[in-house]
Amino acid sequence: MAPLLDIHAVGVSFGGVRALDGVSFSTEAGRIFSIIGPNGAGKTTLFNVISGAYPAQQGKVVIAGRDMTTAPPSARAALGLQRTFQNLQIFGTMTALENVMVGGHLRQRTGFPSALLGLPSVAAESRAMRRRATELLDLFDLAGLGGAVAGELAYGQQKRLEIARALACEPRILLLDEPAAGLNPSETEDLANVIRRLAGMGIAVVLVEHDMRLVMAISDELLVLNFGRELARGTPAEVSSNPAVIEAYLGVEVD
Amino acid sequence: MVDFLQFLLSGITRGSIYGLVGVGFALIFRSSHAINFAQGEFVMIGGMATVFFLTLGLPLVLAAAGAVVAAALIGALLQRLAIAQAKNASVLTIIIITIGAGMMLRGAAEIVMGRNFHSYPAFSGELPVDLLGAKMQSQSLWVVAALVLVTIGIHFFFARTRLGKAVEATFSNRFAATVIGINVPRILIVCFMLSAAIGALGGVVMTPITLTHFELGVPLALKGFCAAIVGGLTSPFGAIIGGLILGLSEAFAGGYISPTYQEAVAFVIIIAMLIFRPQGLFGRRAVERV
Repeated sequence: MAPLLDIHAVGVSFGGVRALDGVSFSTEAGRIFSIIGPNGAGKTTLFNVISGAYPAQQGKVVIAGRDMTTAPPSARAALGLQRTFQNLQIFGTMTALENVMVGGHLRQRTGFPSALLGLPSVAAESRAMRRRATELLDLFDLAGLGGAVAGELAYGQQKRLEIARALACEPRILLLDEPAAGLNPSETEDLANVIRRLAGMGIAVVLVEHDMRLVMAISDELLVLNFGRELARGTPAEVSSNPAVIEAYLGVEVD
Repeated sequence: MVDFLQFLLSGITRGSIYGLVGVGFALIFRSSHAINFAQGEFVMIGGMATVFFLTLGLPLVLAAAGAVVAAALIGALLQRLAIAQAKNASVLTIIIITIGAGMMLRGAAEIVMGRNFHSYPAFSGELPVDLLGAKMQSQSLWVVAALVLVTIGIHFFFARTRLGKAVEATFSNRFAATVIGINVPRILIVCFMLSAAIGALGGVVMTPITLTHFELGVPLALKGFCAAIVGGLTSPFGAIIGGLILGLSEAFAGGYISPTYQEAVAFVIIIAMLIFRPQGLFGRRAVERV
């Protein structure tokens, strides 16, 4: 069976800078795959190439067995790919509940004509969607904030809202870009549990994160990037004992 | 009392016309943050295309429907061929493109239909409707009915449909909309088609009252733009209410003060609005976190 997400020898340059060079990995439903590396290693660039914010100049991005290397973001989302951002991207002028519902709306079956006619199926579906959105808000500790304007929520709340919205799209692959940034240790612990639950639901989670304790605790597999290239790949135990990784993170010893 | 009623009725007619024009501005602003100064031309096309189809011998219903569809197609082409090509151009650039598109559409209408005024008979005869002594053209009822239809339609669109939510999300954060799987280029085309169709519907129903002419769109766009500003550019309903406020103020000012100042009222209102409530009656103040 083909992997759910298959990145094959992807390369991107910005001017003369080689941001990604021959990076490959693949992951499966239910796995937590983390990408780590020093700042500027190309982690966010890799996410952008996977989600379609800009195309890969070399290599292939295969989602659910389909070559999506040049497909627009909306087509990738339609195959079940969702992501969150290091610098949040929420709908600031809409309410928290609406943010989550917009995510869910793309999974809605009834179209414009039946909505216009006010068919009962539409009302039932939008009730179900509202209920599901409310559940998601509860799950992310945002209960009671559904009516609040998203742009006015606290930073940590906005981060959780963004994940809730991604989940409303019922993703098969979820890319999380530094979800723990700005969270305190107990919030990070909650986040770890949420991510484990997502994987338990069969979602392929791909994580970019600087919090090593979190990454080492929850990942099934790690990819270490340095200057746009793969430095190491393997289980947390393998990676953390890899001399090249230690050198990249801690520097080389000078005699 | 009869005077008052008379001014009220003519104000409602005027106001409905302005509202029908203004709502198109709000719809496009709400999807792309741009002002479409070709909006008046869609109204003109509504009337002109109806005249054109009538001269081909089509019955009124088909001619009117054809005019609305034609305007929607022109709206889609304008978005696709001119505005989408500008890619990430600033809002100001897009506004200038629409001004150019407006000129082009006026020129095209002049070539096809000439410089004359055109019209066609009122839909339900020329006999005026009598309301407690005040008189109203029966066609005015069609204008009001069109406005009511558009209002209900827009409410459904934004409150009940997935497309409506997608439009709102696109307005709020275009990047995030793309990421959660909204086909943003398609949303922008849909908004242009919708506002062109609504403008053209306005043109179809108002032409027996206002007549139509290749330059009809210019003054109408100005009034419609005022209506949208008064209502708050982000709110299609605001534009409808703004149009009614504008029409009524003009009718009462014209009746009780002097017809000379009638035209100035719109601009006095818009200046007052921009000073005291720049976000308009129903507009949302921009929320930005820094």
